[in-house]
Amino acid sequence: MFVFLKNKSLEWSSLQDYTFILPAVSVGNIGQLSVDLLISSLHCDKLAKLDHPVFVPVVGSDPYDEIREQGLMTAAELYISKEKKLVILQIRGLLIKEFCADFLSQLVDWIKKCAFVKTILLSSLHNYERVDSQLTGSPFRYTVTSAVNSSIENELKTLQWPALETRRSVWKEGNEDILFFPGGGYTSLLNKLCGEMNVPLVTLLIFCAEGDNIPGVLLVTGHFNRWLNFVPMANDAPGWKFPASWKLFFGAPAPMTMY
Amino acid sequence: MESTSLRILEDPKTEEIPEDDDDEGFISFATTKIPTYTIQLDENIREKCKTVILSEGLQATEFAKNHLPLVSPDPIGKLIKQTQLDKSDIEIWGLQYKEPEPSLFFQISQDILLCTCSSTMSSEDFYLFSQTVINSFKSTTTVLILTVSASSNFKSDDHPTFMETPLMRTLATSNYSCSDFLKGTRLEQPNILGGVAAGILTVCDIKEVPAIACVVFSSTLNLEADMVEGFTKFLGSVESTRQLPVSRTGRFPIRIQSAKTGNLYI
Repeated sequence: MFVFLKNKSLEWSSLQDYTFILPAVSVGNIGQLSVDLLISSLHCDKLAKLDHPVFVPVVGSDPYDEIREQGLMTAAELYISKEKKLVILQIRGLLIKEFCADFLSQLVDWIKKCAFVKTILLSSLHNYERVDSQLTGSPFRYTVTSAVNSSIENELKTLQWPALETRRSVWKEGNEDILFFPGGGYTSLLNKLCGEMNVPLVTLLIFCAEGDNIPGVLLVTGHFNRWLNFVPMANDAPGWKFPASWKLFFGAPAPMTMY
Repeated sequence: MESTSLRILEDPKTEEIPEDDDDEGFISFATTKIPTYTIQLDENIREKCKTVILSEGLQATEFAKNHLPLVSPDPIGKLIKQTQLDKSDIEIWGLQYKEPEPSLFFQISQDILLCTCSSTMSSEDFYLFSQTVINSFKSTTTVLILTVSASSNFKSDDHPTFMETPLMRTLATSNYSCSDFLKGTRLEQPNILGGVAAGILTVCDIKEVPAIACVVFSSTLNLEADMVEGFTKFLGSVESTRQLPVSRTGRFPIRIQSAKTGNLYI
């Protein structure tokens, strides 16, 4: 599944003390935009491309570094920051549902092989599916799988982050409470798989809608950075570097001659 | 991809569907069985081929068929999508079931083949199609892709109407050696390319096959002089097609039999 770039090959076991970050392809593209911001701000190097039929193809020029030009951009790529001990997966297109189970299975097997210190999923949920208690206050939430060790859980509790509330199952009879991830793409499936495979996974997410979600992205990445402190602060805020791919987000300007 | 090792939802009805299962971030095949692609093209021809030109979209295909020096207007091979569409699923609101059209191969010379991509392909087909095509040729084959995109898709500080014509951009795989002209026309961010062109470039990049796509941005639906000029300039800048006699005027288009001419009321 992973195809290393030339001269970038390494042993997966060498990533043992690294943190792995990945996005969910979810409502508002929060996870993907957050990963964009991290890769751009931390000047990560491209490590490998992903070859799997789950990805709908998309290509372009280097979205982060117009000067260094790290080759053709494809739908799914792996980046590394040796300085910050970070490995980041970016997914830029839609996924084909029929292949998702296989992709996630291979991904989780790989995560186990690498034995990362932490695996963090950045995601988002439909804001119209909130329960009453979620309607006010910050839209930010987190969840952890049972394999996450207590020191990480304590770190998150110290930050006073709200955990994602469970809700009553609508389909099942009885009083079973479930974690509900509407609009989260493969968030639910990945959490379930990591739970079954005993892989520690921390999911950071916000409630949002489609539209201009840059503020939501800054909220998620701000929380993330407050926890792990990867991006240096500048004037009491992280010094984010917006990537070139964020330019003209909603298209080119209208021709002035029409007015 | 090793198809035997893929764990696919063969019958989704037997798998427990989570309560929050929606299609956010996903697309699906229209069938329960994953379609397969098979190529029907003589192996000797594939062996001798050094350059494959793929045309995506009606305008690029029209350019390729009318302006490139094809040995014959009849295809020498095809690439077929094998699928199991249930007709009753398709006949909704009077829409008729449409068989997927094959992609066709034409001979330009002993070294150069043209592949006109099927217009019935959807997003979920691009990768599988691209893999089948690229795996059918030697890894030393050069792959060229011609495609057209709406000028409204082109993102730039200047509106496309104020930009040079033809508005042409290129995108190459990492191991493709570009001429200075092609380097100067690289598709700049935040523009991206999707479709078959993206599928082909992705597969070629991973397999280290030299490939380059040319996209002409246009505001018309028909093949126009700007597109012809753009593609001609592109093919003239590529080593393997530099000597190709591309016709500027093209063959006279076949008149559509059903089209009325003259007085509208006759």
